[in-house]
Amino acid sequence: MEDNKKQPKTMIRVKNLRKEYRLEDDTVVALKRINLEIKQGEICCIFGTSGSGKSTLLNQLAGLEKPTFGDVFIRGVPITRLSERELAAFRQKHIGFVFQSYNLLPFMTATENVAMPLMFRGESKRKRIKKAVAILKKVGLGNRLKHYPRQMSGGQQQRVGIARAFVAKPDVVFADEPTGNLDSKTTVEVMDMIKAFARRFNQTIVLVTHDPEMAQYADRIITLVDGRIVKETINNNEGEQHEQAI
Amino acid sequence: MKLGDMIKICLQNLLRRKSRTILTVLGVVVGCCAIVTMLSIGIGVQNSQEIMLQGMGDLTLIEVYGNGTKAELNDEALRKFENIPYTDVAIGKTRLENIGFDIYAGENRRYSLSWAQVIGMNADAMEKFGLELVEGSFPKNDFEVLAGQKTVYNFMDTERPDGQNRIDLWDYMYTQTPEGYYEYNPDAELPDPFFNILNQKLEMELYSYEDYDNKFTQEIKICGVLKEDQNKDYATSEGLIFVTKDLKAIQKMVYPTSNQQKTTYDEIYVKATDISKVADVEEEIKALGYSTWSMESIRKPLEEQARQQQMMFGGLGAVSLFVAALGITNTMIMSVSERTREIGVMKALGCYLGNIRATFLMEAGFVGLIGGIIGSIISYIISIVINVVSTQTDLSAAQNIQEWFGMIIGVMNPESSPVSIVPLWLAGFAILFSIIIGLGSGFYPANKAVHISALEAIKRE
Repeated sequence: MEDNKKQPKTMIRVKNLRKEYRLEDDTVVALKRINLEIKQGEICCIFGTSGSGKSTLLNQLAGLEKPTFGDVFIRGVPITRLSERELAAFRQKHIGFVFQSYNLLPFMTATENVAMPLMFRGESKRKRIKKAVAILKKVGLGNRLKHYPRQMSGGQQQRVGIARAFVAKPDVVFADEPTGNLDSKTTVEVMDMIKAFARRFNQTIVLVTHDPEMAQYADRIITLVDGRIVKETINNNEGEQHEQAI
Repeated sequence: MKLGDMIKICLQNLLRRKSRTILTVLGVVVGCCAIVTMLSIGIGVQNSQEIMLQGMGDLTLIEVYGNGTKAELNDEALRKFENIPYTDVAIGKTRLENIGFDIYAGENRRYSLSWAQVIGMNADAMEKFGLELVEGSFPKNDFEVLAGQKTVYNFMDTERPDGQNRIDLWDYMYTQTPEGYYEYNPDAELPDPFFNILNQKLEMELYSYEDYDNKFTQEIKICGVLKEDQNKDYATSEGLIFVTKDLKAIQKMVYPTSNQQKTTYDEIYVKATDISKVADVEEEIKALGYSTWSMESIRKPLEEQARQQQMMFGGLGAVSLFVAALGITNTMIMSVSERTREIGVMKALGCYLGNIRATFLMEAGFVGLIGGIIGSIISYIISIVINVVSTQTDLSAAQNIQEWFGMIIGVMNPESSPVSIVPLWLAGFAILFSIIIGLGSGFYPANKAVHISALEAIKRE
């Protein structure tokens, strides 16, 4: 790392995170003592098999669920301690989502779907449509602006999803198996697109996947097994990997 | 989120499942129609009662009876009554006692009148009492007198031969039907009288019933002709209305020895400012030691009964609107569970809970609003149909029965008043009520929506 380059800021910090689920008289521990730091502009992959706790970790990081114990800070804000309303406001400003099943609203056009996060923020229709159209053109859907989700292919829908995640210029975008429903060619397109966006605006991406090939897009791969981080792998530009057992 | 955006989303959601929305709205329409139609019949009944009562007399008028020397009907009493709050005016009526008269008009006493209803009334009360003039003005000077609308027809022309010297109004006002009945027609065109009574100087020849031959003469002038209203007094039809003091002067002229110091009245009427104040004013008068009678004693129980009927009718309607409310709730719950994932996504993307609640409430409220509007429009149509059918159906026998019973149970014949009346406020109330019902039934589903976790967005199917 060059000396004159500024040290990137910490975007997400996880401290002693623990998550338990109570099932009748049994308690399942999904996450145990997770400590983690993710820098600004970093593409971080949370990798693991099903049941490893990777989705649970994503839920905690994004504030979709409250942990049993421990804290998650994003930009220094303890999101685990925010009220519902504060959390909603925080998501509007700082968080974007790309979902595996796209999760576009079926009664809205591509443009309206992309403009939705801006609508929640109370932006005027003219302004938000302008932004939505601009970003849809960037993802190559300039000719699909008025299309409804059911009129588009999976790849196109996911590109709308990406546009929606990035339209509000969030600090962090959480991508949950974003290519899980796509073929390999489209997967490459979609991942390149996410990466390109993140790089341009120095945004942090948290990518959750069980697919080792997908993990290669990340700067750092965090491997979870049974709710514990077992391995951190740094991907450098030459494609070499530095492993670090924990 | 802006209000406009929320409205748009709620409309989009309603349009997404058209048939379900239409059926739910239909439920509200039926409920709304039921309530409005039922209440409109109740209002119709009340209205016909009111018309019936008005036909029987002035509803704001209270008749006051004296009670010997303890509560005399005199000027003092009149003043006391006028000071009671919500009293519009107190009217004293006097009559000629034990005095007969003939009235002459024209040169050489050409026209003569031997009978007229003569009363005296305090001048300041005439107009407020509701006396209306056809022509002329109220009395200002001494012995200026008001004539009833048909008084002039009672004069006989002494210069015409027998059989032609009188005008019999019965010939004009009653027409014989083919069945042989006589039908009264109050609007019949009347012939010209023998002379114009307005501004006529009349000679009034008076005598006491004790001494027919001792005649007194008083000249009077007709300053105005009254509009006939027999509920006010028969004198408005065939009579003369004097100012009290003029009539008292005549009384004094014929009976100079009678020692009346104070003006006493034969009847006193007190007019309340409003129907709703009649009971209060009556109460006050009774507290002064007088007895009273007013239409209130008939109106009150009728009104009570009408209100009960309305509540019963309205209750029946309300049941169906309640069923419609359950329909809305059911539809909304279904729609919430169908949209679980969407709601999760919206939450994950930062939609405020309040906005989610508001969209669902709006959806339910909108169903109520549309149902209410359509329901009100249909109710108007139903009301018109009911009225047309009830007036066109030949129910002459039934109507007669109804007329008789109408006096007893308070339901009028449909001839005089429509069976169903939908006032604007009722339609407005129905729409408002439907909206409230909608919002009320949307409350639980909206809460359900708010409590959906953002995790639903992440779940894999």
